[in-house]
Amino acid sequence: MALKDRGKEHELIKEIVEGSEKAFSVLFYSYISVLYPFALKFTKSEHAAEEVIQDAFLRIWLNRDKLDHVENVKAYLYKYVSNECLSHLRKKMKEDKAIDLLKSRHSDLDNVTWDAIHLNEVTRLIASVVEKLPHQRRKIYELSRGEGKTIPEISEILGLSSSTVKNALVIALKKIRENLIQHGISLFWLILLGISIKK
Amino acid sequence: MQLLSIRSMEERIKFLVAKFNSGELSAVEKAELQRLVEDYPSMVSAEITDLLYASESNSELPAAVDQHKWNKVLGKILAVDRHLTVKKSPVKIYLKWIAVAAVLALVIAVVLRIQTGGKNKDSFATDIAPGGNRATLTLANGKKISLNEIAEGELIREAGLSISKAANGQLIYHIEKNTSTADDTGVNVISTPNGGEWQIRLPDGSSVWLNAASSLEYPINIGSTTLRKVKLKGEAYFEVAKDSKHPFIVETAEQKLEVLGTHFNVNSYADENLTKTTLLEGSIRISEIINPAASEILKPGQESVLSATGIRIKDVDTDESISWKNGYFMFNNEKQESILRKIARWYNVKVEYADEEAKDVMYYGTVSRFDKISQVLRKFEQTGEVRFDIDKNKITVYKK
Repeated sequence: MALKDRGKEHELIKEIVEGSEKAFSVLFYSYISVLYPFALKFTKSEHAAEEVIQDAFLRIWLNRDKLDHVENVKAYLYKYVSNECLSHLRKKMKEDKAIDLLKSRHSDLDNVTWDAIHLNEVTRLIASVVEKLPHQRRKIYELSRGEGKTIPEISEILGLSSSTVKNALVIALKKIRENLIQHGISLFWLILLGISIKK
Repeated sequence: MQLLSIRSMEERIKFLVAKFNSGELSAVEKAELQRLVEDYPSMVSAEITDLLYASESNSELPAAVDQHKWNKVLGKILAVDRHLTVKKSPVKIYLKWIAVAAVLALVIAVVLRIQTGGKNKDSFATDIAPGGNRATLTLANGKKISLNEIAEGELIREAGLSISKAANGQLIYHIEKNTSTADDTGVNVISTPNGGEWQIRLPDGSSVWLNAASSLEYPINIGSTTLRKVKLKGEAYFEVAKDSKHPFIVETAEQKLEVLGTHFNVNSYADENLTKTTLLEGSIRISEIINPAASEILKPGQESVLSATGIRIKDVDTDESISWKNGYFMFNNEKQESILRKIARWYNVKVEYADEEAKDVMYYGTVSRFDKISQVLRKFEQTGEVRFDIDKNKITVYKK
């Protein structure tokens, strides 16, 4: 069920930028019925398709502050999913050579816990960044991502302006991404800014 | 290789990507596409996006969305930057005991202050790293292999099977096509020490995640037997390959569990008095070994607790029971004593209580499994109820 009403989607995006897990879930579900069947056909594997969706949306979530500047949400989401499919394509072409070496009843050598371990590493790195945040920023982060409080709520609790709270959250997110990139985990696709923009 | 215009390059890529999508690439075309992916990734990505837009108007009706699966995925995504914390559980406290405890706490505090010169911050004498991938595989001939020591991709061959270690450490069984007379009637045992965990894919395609201090015994020919029976000590999470003709059975010390094809967690440590089984997907039948007639069927989202008094079923938050597999400790109104038993297995430490009351403090919250023990214990200390000392591999617990 695609969100036909651009105005509603815009509201939703605004909430996601501010960290609303619920709004993010609504966006997720509104696109999954197109994205998953496509990923499934492309990867020919339920597990790989799930991973494509998961990694794409993980990147979108960790880059949520950038959604503020996105004009066309669908195009943005589609680009992230296409890029994950590209990544899968790359991996698959390399793997196909290795598969022939092992005669196997289960041709799906996709590692079932690969995503779990990957996520664990990401989680750990993020936690270490949050631990080192300066006191006020950390408190704001904890209220947002620990207790699920909205920006207006946090403003009230801490007696700060909304923009101070929002800035703190954006800076925290940027620090998180910096740290992940330093550890070799890329979070956005440079080729999004790429040459051939078809639509 | 001739020079192609950008236009014809795009068309070529479009052609190859579409063929990949429909699974019709020839070997030569595959090699060509691989090169194009390396040299012009953004063009390939753009063509994939085109395909995605085109698929919107597919006449095939999309299948009903599997909310259960996607809620799990969403949960994983949103958890990566969630703030983990531990809070003290609000519980009914008996006033009499508060008064006594408060007096005692005061006295102890004063004494300690004098002794330690008023040092407020505790500093742990030693710190302990969390557990990791450690396990031992015992083959049918009795030979033991330390799994963390063998290299990725390395093969162990036994009785018509080859066992390889995948990139993420998972142990995968393959049936070798060209097997000579293979005696495949033996069993293999995979066991984890304190501080170890491992994942394995059995010859029948089922996946098992083994927690610390656990062991799983299974027949090598589980892929072809009538009954797929395994024996578990400790804790494991199962994703059983669907095969309704060949029931999957998990036997623990007290319990027998029969499965058709599902995802579930079994917790059956000898030092816990209960056998807990949590079902995420599918359907299982649980029975007591000493009383097989009385069996219960579990539905997803339910947990069965088998104790001396029989089997009890309740609805639970399944995330909590498999949090260990996802890299967390998660507790919901759980006692300090029970929490520390789990921590002891994962960090391979011994726990001693200087104050008995410390055992009863209850918590809810989430803590990463991959932090050093000092960080984990500090989170409990921050609730102001308990204090810890770490000495070598011994933790002493004090009530504040």
